[in-house]
Amino acid sequence: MNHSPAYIISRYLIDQGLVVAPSDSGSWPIFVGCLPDGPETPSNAVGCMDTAPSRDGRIMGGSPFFHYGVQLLLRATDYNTGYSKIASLVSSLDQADSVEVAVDSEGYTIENASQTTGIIPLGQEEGTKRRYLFSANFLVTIKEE
Amino acid sequence: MAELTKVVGKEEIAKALRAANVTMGSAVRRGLKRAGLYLQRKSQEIVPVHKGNLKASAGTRATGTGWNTDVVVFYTAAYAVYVHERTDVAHGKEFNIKHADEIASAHTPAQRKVWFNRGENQQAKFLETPARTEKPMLLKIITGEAQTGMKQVGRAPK
Repeated sequence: MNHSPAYIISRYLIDQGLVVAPSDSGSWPIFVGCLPDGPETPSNAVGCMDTAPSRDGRIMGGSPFFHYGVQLLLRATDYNTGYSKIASLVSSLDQADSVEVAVDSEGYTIENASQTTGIIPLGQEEGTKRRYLFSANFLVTIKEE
Repeated sequence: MAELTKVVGKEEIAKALRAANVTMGSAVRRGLKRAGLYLQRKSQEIVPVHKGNLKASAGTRATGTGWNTDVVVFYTAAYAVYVHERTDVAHGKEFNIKHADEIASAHTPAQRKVWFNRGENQQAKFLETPARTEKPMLLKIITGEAQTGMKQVGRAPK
């Protein structure tokens, strides 16, 4: 794959209209591999990270079969807003079933996103003004077209 | 004319099967506990260390008996989940690069307690990552103990 699973999942969530690309205006930008902070970055934001994959055997042809680890990390100024937002992202991924996603002229199919944890409230972000953090973790099956 | 057949040894067979079940259950429990301890060890190799509280709070606990054993590998430090889930925070090699200046200019003992080179492999997801990457080894440990149990059953006195 030429794109990371986290990037593909972020494109899927953008396509669903739940988040926006960082370059676009709108609420809840989604970043891949980080959750930046600064005057230009809104407090309400989502990070989509790659985590350890699970290698689950291989097919007869010899290719290993991976379930890729993906984490959603969400930051919000209000606890309930953050919780309901990550719940909607989790719900959207739970419903993903053989969904085609176009990423930079390449096509991928998200066969399944299996939630490995519930929504984990991480409390208030250290050193900031009462911003709340939440995470949710998945193992995803992605097929390259 | 009806023929009567008497089967003997049913009680012995049932007793041997019960004993085999107990032996195999114990073997599986042993395997699960050993796998848990192995996972804890692998996690300890990459857990972020600042003062050592998080690393020292690790443990492995087996509850239940025989086939119904549950093994939990855990960290009891209050902030363990926070460190585990914050994948955007720099640990290990990343930390050393990000804070190279602070580490280089730390001269007093108080400064050196905060700014020192971290172990290169320290990272968030210090429990989830080895649970996935070490899965083949964890299964090998459990099946190894199960096979030992089967051999014990095979060697059981008649």
